[in-house]
Amino acid sequence: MEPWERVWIDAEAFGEDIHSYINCTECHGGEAVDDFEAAHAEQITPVVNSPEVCGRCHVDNGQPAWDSLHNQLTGYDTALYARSAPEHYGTLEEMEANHCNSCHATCGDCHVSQPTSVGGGLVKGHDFYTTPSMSQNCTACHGSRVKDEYYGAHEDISSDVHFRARMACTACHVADEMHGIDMDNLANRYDGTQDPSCESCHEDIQLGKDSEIREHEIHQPEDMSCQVCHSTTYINCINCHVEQTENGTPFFTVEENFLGFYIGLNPEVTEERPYRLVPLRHVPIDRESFSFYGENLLPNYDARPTWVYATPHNIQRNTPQTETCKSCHDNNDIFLTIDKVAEDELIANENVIVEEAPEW
Amino acid sequence: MVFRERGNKLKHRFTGIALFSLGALLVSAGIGMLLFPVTGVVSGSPSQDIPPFTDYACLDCHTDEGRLKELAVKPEEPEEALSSGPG
Repeated sequence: MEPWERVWIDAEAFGEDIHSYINCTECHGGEAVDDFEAAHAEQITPVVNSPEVCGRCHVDNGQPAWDSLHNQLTGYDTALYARSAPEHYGTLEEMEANHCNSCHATCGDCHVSQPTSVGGGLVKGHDFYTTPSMSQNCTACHGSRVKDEYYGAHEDISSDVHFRARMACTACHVADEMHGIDMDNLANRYDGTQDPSCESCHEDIQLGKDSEIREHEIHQPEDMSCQVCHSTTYINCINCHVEQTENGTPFFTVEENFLGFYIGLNPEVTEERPYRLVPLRHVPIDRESFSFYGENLLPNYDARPTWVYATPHNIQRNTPQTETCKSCHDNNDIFLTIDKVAEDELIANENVIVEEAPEW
Repeated sequence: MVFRERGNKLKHRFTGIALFSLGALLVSAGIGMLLFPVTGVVSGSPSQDIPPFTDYACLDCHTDEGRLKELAVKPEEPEEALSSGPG
């Protein structure tokens, strides 16, 4: 998107929008004068996602959206602070301010413009839309893992069956989930109610005994998540380092990544997610990820696994795992066994490593 | 006969007074509503009075493709250009 396009208002389309009745400065700040410098001197762009701006009218969604995982990025804090120690929290906050703030999804990042993390830009000439665009909003942020898996961008790996059925992200991830309605104090996206769940649509698929599907009768719901059989190869990132250029521009480097499929032990068995086995994905972190900002900022690095609970977005009815019983049984290749974990990360991952594949 | 005419005159006078009073009541109610508007809060709709639109200077520029092309500048060093690997 060209720089001018990012800020161009389509008078015809926006004129039909109820927001066009509101003065520009009411949401954006600044001053409505003809001089460029003066007009933008105190401008807030993009509009911050606060209950004081959007929430003034959208009273049901304003506060929950502000508190939501999408805006607060609580999942990052949960993982980072668990691996760190209180004396480093200040430094980590500085790091997050430089490298993570553009990832906070504001109301506008989903309903009027592309997210700030990809440079922003009005999607429909400032016309607001209720349903976010899959390509210009959702996957603009969720690009490297979800997008590539869902669209089938990895060579020889099919797109998600739901993508082929022309389902957009919002078909499963509905407004209440995105706005954080009734989702208070979640530690990360796998905390709380499992919503969406496969069963919320696939009601006809009986699980466990009496299901009349042989594989579903043999494998009980508490044995494994649906993705163990119905997802396939996904991307894993090994190390991410963040830095700044001499003039203070932040950037990151992920030096190593690879495709693979690894079944391991569920790191956090809960009533909502009772599965013993789940696919595990290596997250982009190592002990030196933030060393640009200080030494040993992650002293409790081993407190959390680096192979984490994953729900790959490349669901298929038939996968390599569903071909035969022996695709999984006696097949250590698709299990996260000790030989696949870096020596430096054995302690961090001791609770998720599988001794060996189940016998046939 | 005289009484009947007097009775009719009285009836017409009462009807006139009643209609005049009703008209005055409606007019004063209308003036009252204009002077003291009642605002309601509906979920998902504007919860306050919106002042009239006056920010035409912003709109004039941001709807003018030519002016924006002239003024908008490319950021010098976008973060995504420096970063490498899956984000």
